Amino acid sequence: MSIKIKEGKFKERVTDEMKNDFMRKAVSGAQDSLGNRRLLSTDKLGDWESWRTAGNEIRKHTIDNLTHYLTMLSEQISAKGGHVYFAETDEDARNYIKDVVKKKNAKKIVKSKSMVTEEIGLNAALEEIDCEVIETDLGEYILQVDDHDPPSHIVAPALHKKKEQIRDVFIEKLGYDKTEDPGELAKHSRKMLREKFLNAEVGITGCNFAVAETGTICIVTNEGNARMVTTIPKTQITVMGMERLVPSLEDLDIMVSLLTRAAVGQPISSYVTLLNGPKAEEEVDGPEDLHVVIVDNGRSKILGTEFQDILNCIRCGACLNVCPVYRHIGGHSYGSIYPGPVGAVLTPLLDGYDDHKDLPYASTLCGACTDVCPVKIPLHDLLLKHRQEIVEQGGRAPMSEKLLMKAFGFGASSGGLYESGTKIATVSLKMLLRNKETISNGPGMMKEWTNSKEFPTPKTSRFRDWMSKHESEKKHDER
Amino acid sequence: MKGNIQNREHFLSRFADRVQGGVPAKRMNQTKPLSSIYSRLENESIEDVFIENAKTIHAETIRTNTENLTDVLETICQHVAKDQILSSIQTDNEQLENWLSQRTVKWTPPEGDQNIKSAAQSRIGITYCDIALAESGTVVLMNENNIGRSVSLLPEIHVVIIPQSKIVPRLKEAMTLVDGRLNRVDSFPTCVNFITGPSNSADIEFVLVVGVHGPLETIYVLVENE
Repeated sequence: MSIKIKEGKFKERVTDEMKNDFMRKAVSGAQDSLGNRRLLSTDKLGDWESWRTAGNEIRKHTIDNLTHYLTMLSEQISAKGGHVYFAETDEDARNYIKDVVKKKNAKKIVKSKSMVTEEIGLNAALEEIDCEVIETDLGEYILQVDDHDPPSHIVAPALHKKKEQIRDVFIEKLGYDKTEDPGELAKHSRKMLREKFLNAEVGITGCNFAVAETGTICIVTNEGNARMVTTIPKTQITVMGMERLVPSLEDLDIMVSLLTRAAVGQPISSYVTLLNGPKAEEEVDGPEDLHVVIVDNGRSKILGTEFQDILNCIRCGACLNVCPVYRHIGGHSYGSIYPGPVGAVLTPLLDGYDDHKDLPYASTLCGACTDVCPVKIPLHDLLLKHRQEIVEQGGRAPMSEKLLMKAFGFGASSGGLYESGTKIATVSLKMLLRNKETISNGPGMMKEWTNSKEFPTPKTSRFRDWMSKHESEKKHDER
Repeated sequence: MKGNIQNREHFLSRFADRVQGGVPAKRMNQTKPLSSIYSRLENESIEDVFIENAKTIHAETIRTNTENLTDVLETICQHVAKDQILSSIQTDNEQLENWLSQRTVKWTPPEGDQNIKSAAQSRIGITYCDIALAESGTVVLMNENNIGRSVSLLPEIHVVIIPQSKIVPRLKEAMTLVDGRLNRVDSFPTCVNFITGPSNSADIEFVLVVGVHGPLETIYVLVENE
C-alpha cells in the first residue's frame, strides 16, 4: 500500500461509499461516542485550551528547530546503542529495512500499527523478499486477513467493517468456528497472533513521539501489541516521520496527555511504552539490535511554506471524528491512507495534486476540525490555501467551477448578455420550483448544489427591475 | 557500544535553510498547563483518587500492609490452583522474598530465553511498581537488568504490588523521575512501561473488548504503610 489507496474519481468513490449504509452508521456512531468521551476527558483535565496552546507551542518550536532536534535525537539513540538511518525517500527507507532484514536472514516479521510504514509501502517490499509480515493491531490484522482492505480511520482502521463480515473472513481464512461476538473474534486473534509474536525474528513499529534529549521512542497502544513487538523479537526496526519528535520528557507529558484524550477520550492509554535503546547485555527480553529509520518522503518540502503547520500533526484523528463530510462519505472516499481533514491537507502535499486535487474541496469549511485539533493546526484555513493554490496553478480547479467562472466572466463582461442572462435566470428558476419553496432537483451545474442541499427561492423580480420601477414611481409621486 | 548514524548530514542539509539553525533559545514563554488533579488532591487522599481511577480502567485494588502482603498474594494465587506463577521483583522484604521463592518461578537472567518461554506458560505475573499515577490509575514499571518486560505482558493475570508512597499525582511527576533515571549514564531502564489496566481494544464495531494481546486481568495490591 502507498498513500493512494483507491483508483477512480473522487465523486465516483463518494457515490459508491454513500451506498454503504453500515459504514455510514458506524462512522456516525463512532463520531458521537468518541466526541462525548473526548469532551468528558478534557473537562476532567481542566483548562483544555491551555493544554492545546502548550501543545501548539511545543510542536511549533520543535519543527522550527528541526535540524537541531533531529541531530540531538540521533546522537542520543546512537549513544544508547541504537542505529539511526535518515531516509530521504520511501524507496530509501524500504531498501534500508530490507537490507537489515536480509542481513539477519529473517523471514518472520511482526508489526505494530504505523501509518508511515503504510505510506512507504513497506509490507509489499518485505513480502517481495519472501518475508511473512503480520500486522498485529486488531483492526489492521482484520484488514490484512481480508485481502489487504485499506484502513478507513487513522485510529480505528477497521471502523467500516461489520462483525458478521469479520466472522466470515475469519471462517474462510483462519479456520474460525465461533460467532460474530467481538470478544470471541478478539480471543481468536489473540491465539493466532500469540504464536506469531513468540516466533518472530524482527519487530517493526511506528513511533508516536521520539524524545530528542533522551533518545527515547514512545509508543502508545491499548492492545499491548507494540509491547509484544518490542519485547520478543531480537531485532527491532522503528519507522518514524521526520517530524514525530519532541525536545524533552517534560514536553512528552503534555503531548501524551493531549494525544490520548483527543484520540479516544482516555486520560492515558493502556500502554505508554518508552524505549531507550536496545536491551542491556544482562537483560533477557527486548531487542539486541535497534534500528530507527527517520523518513522524509516529501515532508521537508512543506517546511518554510504556508502549509508548515500540518507538520505539527500528532495523528490523533480528532478532526475525522468531528468532520461532517467524513461522517457522510467515510474514510475510503478520500482515496488516501490519511483520510478526513488532516488527510485532505496532507495527502496533496505528500503525493501531489494530480491524484488528490478534489480532497481540499471535501470540506464545508465549518472549522470544526480546527476547533478540535489538540495542537491547533488551522486545518480549514489550510484547505482554503490548497484551493487557492489549485486555482493559481491553473487548470486544476474542478471542471464545474471552471465552467461556471468562465461563463460568468463571459456573461458579465457584456452588458447585453448580462441583462438578458439575469432576466432568464429569474424566469427559469421559477420554472424549477414546481410549487415548492425551494429547488431540490436542479439541472446541469445546479445539480451539484441541489444534490446535497436545497436551492433558495428566487425573488419574483430582479433588483434592477424593482429599482427602475421604484425610480419611475418616485418621479410620478414628485410630479 | 555506539550505534551507527547514516546519511544525516546530507538529509539535514537539504532543508537547513528553511528552519532555524544553531541551538534554540531557552523557551521562556512556554505555556505550563495545570491539571485539575491538583485541586482535587487538596481535599482527597492520593490513594483514594488512585483507587477510584483504577476502577474505571477495570483494575481491582486490594489494600493491605507489609505484614499481610504475602497473605493477600497467597489468596490471589489460590484462585488459579496449580498454574504457574512468575515474578520479577527485587526486594529487601524477607517475608515477601521467602514467599516468592516458595510460590513463584523467578525471572532469572542467566537462563536466557527460557524465561520468555516460562512467562508464556505462566498464568500470573507479579511485578513491583516504581511509580503510580493517581490521575489515571496507572502503574509505571522500569525494566532493566533482572526486571523482565515479559512478566507484565505474557501471563493472563498481572498482579502489581504498589507501595503507597510511590503514588504521584500524574504523568508530569513521573516524567521528571524517569528523566532523572535516564540521565544516569551507567545504568538506566531500557524500557519504561506506563500500564493502565488490562489490554483492550474497540476495533470491532467499537465494542470494548478487555484482554487482547497483553493480560486479560489486572490486580493492584496497595501496600499502605510502604
